[in-house]
Amino acid sequence: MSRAAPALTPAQWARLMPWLDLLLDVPTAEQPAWLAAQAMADDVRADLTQVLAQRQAMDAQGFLQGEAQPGWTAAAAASAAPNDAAAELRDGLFTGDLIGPWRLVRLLGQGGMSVVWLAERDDGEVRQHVALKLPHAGPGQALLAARLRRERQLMASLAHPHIARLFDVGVTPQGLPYMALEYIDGQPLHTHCHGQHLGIHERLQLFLQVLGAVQHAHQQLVLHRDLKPGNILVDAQGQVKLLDFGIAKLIRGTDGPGASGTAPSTELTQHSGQVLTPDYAAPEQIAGQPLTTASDVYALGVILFELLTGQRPYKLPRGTRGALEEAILAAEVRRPSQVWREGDASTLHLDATTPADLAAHLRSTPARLAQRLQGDLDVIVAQALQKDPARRYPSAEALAQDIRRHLASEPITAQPDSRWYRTRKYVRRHRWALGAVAAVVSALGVGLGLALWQAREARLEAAKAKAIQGFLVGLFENGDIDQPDALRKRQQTVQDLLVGSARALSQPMPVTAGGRETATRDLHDQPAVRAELQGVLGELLHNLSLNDDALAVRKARVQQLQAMGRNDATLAEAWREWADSQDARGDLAGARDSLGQALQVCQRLGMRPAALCWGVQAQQGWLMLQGGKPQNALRLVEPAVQRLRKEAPLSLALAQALAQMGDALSNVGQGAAAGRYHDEAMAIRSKLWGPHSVRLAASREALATALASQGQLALALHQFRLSEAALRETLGPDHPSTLHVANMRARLEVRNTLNPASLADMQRNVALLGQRDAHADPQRHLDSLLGLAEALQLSGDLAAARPLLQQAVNLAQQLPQTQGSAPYAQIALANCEQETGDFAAAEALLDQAEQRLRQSLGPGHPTLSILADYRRTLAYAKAWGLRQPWHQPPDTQPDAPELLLMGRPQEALQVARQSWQRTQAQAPEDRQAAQVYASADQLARALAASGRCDQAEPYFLAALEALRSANPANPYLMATRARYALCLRSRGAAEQAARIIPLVTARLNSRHQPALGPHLTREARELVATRASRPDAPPR
Amino acid sequence: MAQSGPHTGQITQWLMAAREGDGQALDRLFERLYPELREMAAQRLQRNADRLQLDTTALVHECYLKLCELQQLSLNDRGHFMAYAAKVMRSVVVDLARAQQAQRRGGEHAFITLNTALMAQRPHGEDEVLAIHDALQGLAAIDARLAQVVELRYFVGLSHDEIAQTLGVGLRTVERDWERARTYLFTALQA
Repeated sequence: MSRAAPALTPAQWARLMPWLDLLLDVPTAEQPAWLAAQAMADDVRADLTQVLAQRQAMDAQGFLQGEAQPGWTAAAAASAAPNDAAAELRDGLFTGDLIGPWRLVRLLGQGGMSVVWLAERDDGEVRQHVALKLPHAGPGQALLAARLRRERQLMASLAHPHIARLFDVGVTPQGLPYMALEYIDGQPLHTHCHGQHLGIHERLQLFLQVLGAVQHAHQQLVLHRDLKPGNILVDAQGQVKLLDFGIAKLIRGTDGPGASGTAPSTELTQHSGQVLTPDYAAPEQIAGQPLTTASDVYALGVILFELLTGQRPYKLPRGTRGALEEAILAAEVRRPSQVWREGDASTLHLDATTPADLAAHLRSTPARLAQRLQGDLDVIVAQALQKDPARRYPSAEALAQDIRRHLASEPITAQPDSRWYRTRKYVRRHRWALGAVAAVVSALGVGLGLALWQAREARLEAAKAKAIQGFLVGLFENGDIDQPDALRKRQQTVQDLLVGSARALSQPMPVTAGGRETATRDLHDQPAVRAELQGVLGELLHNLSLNDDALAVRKARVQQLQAMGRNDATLAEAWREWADSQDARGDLAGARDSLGQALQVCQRLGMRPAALCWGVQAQQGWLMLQGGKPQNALRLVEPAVQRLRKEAPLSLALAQALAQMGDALSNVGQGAAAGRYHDEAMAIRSKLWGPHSVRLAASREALATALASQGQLALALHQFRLSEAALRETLGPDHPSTLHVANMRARLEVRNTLNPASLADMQRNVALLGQRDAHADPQRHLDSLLGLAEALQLSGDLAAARPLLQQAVNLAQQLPQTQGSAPYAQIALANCEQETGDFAAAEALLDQAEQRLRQSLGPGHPTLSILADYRRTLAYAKAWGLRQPWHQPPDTQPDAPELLLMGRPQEALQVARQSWQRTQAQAPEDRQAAQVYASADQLARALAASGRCDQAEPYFLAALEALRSANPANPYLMATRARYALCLRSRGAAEQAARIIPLVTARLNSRHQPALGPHLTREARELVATRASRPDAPPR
Repeated sequence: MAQSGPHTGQITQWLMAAREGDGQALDRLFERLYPELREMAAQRLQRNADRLQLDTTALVHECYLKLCELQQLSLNDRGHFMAYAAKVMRSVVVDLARAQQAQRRGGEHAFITLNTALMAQRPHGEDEVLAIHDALQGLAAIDARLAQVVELRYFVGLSHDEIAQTLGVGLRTVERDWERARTYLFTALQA
């Protein structure tokens, strides 16, 4: 509700702020008088008066008042916090002190913020021992108390024989919070297994207990996040107890006095005394990405590895935390059997100095252990330690099942590295690039692929070319990829070839005598060539999304160039490429460091070559954007764009920098400017790749999708159309990729104007795609079904939409890879059911969808609020259609139709006007027909309900106009016409009304169309009912 | 978690340097805090009808405690820490709000129908957050401390008392600052 008062400029504000400061100390009633009495310029006085008036309105609305903001809640709910008032807190605690019902017995250990005592209950009942955790006295204790309370909620829900229980939590009269946990008299897992000389079988049995505990916690939606052997105790009965779901360590033998002779846990203190070590952290944890149950699975994998080998999974080349993190992110994990075979001494246990010693603690020998672990257990561990969380065991239970299968000598489910997975993933990501890459790839594969290399040969000396040739031949013949059968070798995917050669080129120079052959074969004697090949392979692998392999070979390239003493543009480029791969794996910190290195080299070279060097700076800016600092991003990217425009005007580097500029501007809300940068970027790419290139089309599609989600329909359509034209030209009009972009384009067109030609396009396309797509890419097929259903429903063809939606729901539920989309399909189907009046079915579908969404997405996801909106619409339909009483859902602001339901037409009118204005404020090419229809219709209804039928007419017409291209049987045409007719009748225009009524009754009584929900037919029925009896009845 | 930084009192050092205007230290601080707060916030975001709920106060406190436990921050630095953490928290919240808005408007599974068409126009929690964020940039240009007060109160939920302690000014000053800031924001959001 904007007032007519003009907005104040920043300068005006700056002037009046100090006055306002003084004014606020004056009682409100006296403010005008005070103001009049002050010596100030007249315009300042006028501004202040205006501001005071605003303040009145502001307080009336309750703007930003109270703890909870209307938009969201920042402060915690009313907490029963212990009083912060200066209460004297006892610092020194002694044996015999009483804390709540607990008497302190003995100090167990200390952490940074709290201390842990052995305590016993003292009230005449059965003696119970607990580990009592008490925060250190001092500032922040109240905060700790709040934190403990939260953890208590966490622990209270975990009741499991293998999880340490929480018995009690409370606060002493002095305000000292405490937490009483099950006291475990036991040893850490590794110490126990080592000391008891447990064999593989017994160790696995213990591990299964751990898995049971973790699985239980996961089912209660609790992640551990910090699983390590120190948190896993084995008690005197040989039972596992998991500790520390977020709380302090209760391990005996750390730091505290009174430990009874157990060996100190080496894990905790091994690395620079830090409490948190990355040894058990999953790659995504180190990269700072969200954690899931899979991250706990990773930690469990590390623990299993240690149980089976007595050692860490990663060798530590330099012993620093940074190297360890790098190892976790990039390096390959050895197989447990390999560890025993190679015979290592970097053991977890101080009393085992040789492999034989260590093996003895497993009641075996290194050779026998290698044999025992080879096969199943190697594979199980490898799956748990996959770097990509999606490839690990999805749950602790899945891991447990495989272990049980192994123990029962049944086949396990884990597969050694699957090539098929990578190909699929590549196909989805780079659908259109397939054409281009396929050409390159076949050049390599066919006839030993000299076609590709011939181009490079022109620049290389003949000797080098021979070396490359020999290298490629060697790949086939030396069986890097272990396929003994010659026929199979020929059929190998070239992807295997690339991966194999990348591995070879990532190996460091072998030092053993027998490695001479390898040195020649892996081009160690041709470092320049090797570096060049690493570059090419790195890029190919990167484009194939084989990020782990790309990362390894790109890193090796940097090291190779450094070893060669190179300090030029090539090195900078190699750093840059490594950064790209790190970014692809989500390692932002690593990418930042690598780019920093690249920039250093560039600066030494005077920022030449410009394309590379300023591109590096732009990329740094883009990383800033990812790190949440858009202003910094702009500061870096903008000058880069300027320089690139001057020095490398037609380069991909400039195109990328321009696009990054666009992204940064979008981020700070400057959509229009962003658009111009994106256009410029596309123009350059078009010149470089050709206007019909598939890469360009892919680029456009990404941009279009982003634009669509920002509501920039027209710009999005523009990009989709260009993309479609390019693909049509290059791949052909009936290629699946072309058809899919066409569908996306058509879907937006239907949203814009309900264009029947676009709808027809979609029907044709989906029919064409039909069979082959359903098998090839079920997700995409699902999307096309939903898209077509939406278009049909918007147009008004419910009969055709419903079976498609049902098909979509069935399809989504059948296949594991599409199950995530099932709730969305269900929501869409629910809406369709609602329109045909089957409210019960709609309700049931929404319930199912909600359940699934809550499980998989968590309570904060926006989709859940969209679902809540659908429920609200359903409730409205029931209330309006069946004349049931309406209850405004709590914490919501009613919209116009709801206000009409509640008999508040004036407010409805206000809201409806605002909504109409918002719609009108959009450019016509960006408007959605549905929105125009809905806002026009609602305003018309509100006017009619306020008795202003004459004013309503243009809006009724506008609503009908918005649906002019719709299917004639569109129920909303009928509904709006009915309302219009009622309105006309009420102001005496019976003749006009009489012309519309037949259209209404035709649809209402039609037997060829599906039935309609009562909310859609209400006014139509009223129109028919009152026609004969009461022609002057007032409209609803 | 995400960063290396094993030196004792690392954060404390950066805070001191940042206060003296060291831009790099501020960047490092941001880098250290942002991913962690973002992750925690994303996991704990709740929705309640039209409103987003996020206990940012608890998040910032928890972050503070965690850093103390890691000995990267000393207990005395709470005030300084809060001032900067509020900035980071603001970025996190705005980020989340934008993501929510984008998802709701045109997420990959957006499905438009005639009867739900107006739903998209209903104002939602995240819209207000983003509007305040934008308006705050204007306010900061007029008086930086007013914007800071808003950051500490709106984005972190500190009480006026705590804000006074953090900024080293009197309680009454904070109350007047908040009123002035609020007035500005109200008029800015009308436009």
